[in-house]
Amino acid sequence: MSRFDQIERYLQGRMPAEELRAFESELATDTELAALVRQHRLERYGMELLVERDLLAKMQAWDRETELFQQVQPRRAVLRPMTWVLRAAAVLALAAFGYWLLRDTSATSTEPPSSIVRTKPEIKPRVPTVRKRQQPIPQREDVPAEAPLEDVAQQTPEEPAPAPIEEMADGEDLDYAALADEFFRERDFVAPTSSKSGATGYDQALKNFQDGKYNEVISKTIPDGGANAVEQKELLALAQYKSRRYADAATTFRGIMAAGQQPYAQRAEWGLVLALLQELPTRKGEFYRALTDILRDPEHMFYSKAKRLEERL
Amino acid sequence: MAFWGKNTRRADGFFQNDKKPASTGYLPLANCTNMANTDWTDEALIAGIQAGGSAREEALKRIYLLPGLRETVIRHILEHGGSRQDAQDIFQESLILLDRNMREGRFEGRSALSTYFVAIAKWRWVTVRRQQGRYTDIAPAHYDAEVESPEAEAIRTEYRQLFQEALGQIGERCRDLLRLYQMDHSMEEIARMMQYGNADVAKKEAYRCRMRFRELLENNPAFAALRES
Repeated sequence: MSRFDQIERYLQGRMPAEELRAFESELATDTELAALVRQHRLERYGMELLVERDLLAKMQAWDRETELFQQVQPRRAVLRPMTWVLRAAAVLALAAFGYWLLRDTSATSTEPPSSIVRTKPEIKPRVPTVRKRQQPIPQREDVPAEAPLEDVAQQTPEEPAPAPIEEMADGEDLDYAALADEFFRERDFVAPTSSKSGATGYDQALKNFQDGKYNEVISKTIPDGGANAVEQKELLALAQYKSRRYADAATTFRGIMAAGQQPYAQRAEWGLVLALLQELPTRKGEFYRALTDILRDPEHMFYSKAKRLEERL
Repeated sequence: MAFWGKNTRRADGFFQNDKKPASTGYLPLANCTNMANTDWTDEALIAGIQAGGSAREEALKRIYLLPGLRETVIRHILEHGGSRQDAQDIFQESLILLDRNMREGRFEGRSALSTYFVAIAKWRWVTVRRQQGRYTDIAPAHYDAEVESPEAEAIRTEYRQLFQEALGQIGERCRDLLRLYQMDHSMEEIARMMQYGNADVAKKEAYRCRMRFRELLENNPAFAALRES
């Protein structure tokens, strides 16, 4: 039996008791074997992530099944509490309208008529006239100087340009920033501990980030194309996001997505959605495109969150 | 140095050192008509998870959709400084941890499965808060069991990105194969599921994928630095 199989059986707990005792006594004295066992154990930790990812995808599928199940259930239970709330709101609205009507008519009937005061008309400054060629202005010979000129009557009053009609976008009353804040969680992106990769620059930047010194992270983090360039970019994007520089954050997230390195690319896709959400209702088209890209992939690590966000919108 | 108990698996699927859990009867809310939980006792769920395959998936699904369990976790997280989003994430992570602990024989059966699940959720929330540097008001009494040794937990956290990078490069087929291997499927089962000719071919492929994974890890300087620290 190969050493590989033996170590695997040891770590899986499949060794018979006698073999187990012999193996453990060898392990206690053989440093090479101990290193090999540690290597195997680390790899098994890594492979466990595959099981974890698979189970996460299954949970998302179960959530979707549950949603479909709820959709086919009769909606009475959902509508019933809403119905009487709507009725009460309608009654209140009618009562308010009626009060407004009554108040308006009674006010005009009870107020005493204002007395008419005759005053000398105020001479207003002369306003330039617009002369129409088709209609020559008749000349008046005995018009007193202080009397208002009849030209004034022929003026085309300047009407203010009509205000542009603003279309009420759907969900304009939603607080998009609050919604984005609700969905944003640092630990979706940044490991809570330092990378311990020997990159002291990154570790210092991470410390600054965790201490809330986002401007320092932004000014001092320049991804250098090295081994942890994507990590640095991610930290930069997050610092920009936390500093409310959402347009910059969106650009940086796009850069991470373009690099295509996982899991950073998927995290960046989610970061982009949140950055664009902060900027709604502007950039609406971009936001929905980014959200749809995640929703197209049920195995995306942020699929369930994207789904929940879609429901909230 | 052992990160999990060394349990020999018995023929009946339970580990040698496990106490066979006392019968806890039916699960709470077992009369939920939309799930027909009445056949799924704690013993059946544990056996299903440890059996693997479709039995494991069905058992985990039953636990995941168990009425009241999610609400209990949500309430605990909300009461201890978390949001609904946090609660949802903790709930899912707890199922992952439950599955792992069951497969590794760490569940001793001293409590009902739902109680154990909630204990895992509490432990997980404490861990998360500690990692965020906000562990100030939650005492160890707020969680009922240590789900994983601090050492193992630290390793999983620190190496996570490195593992993800390497796994992202080994290819979809190797990922599927290693996942089935990690879940202790036999080579005969893997050969059938992955459509290999026989168990020997499956074993060779599993070894090849494993060596590819190892090579990617060892070629990453961050991995060597982390291992030596």
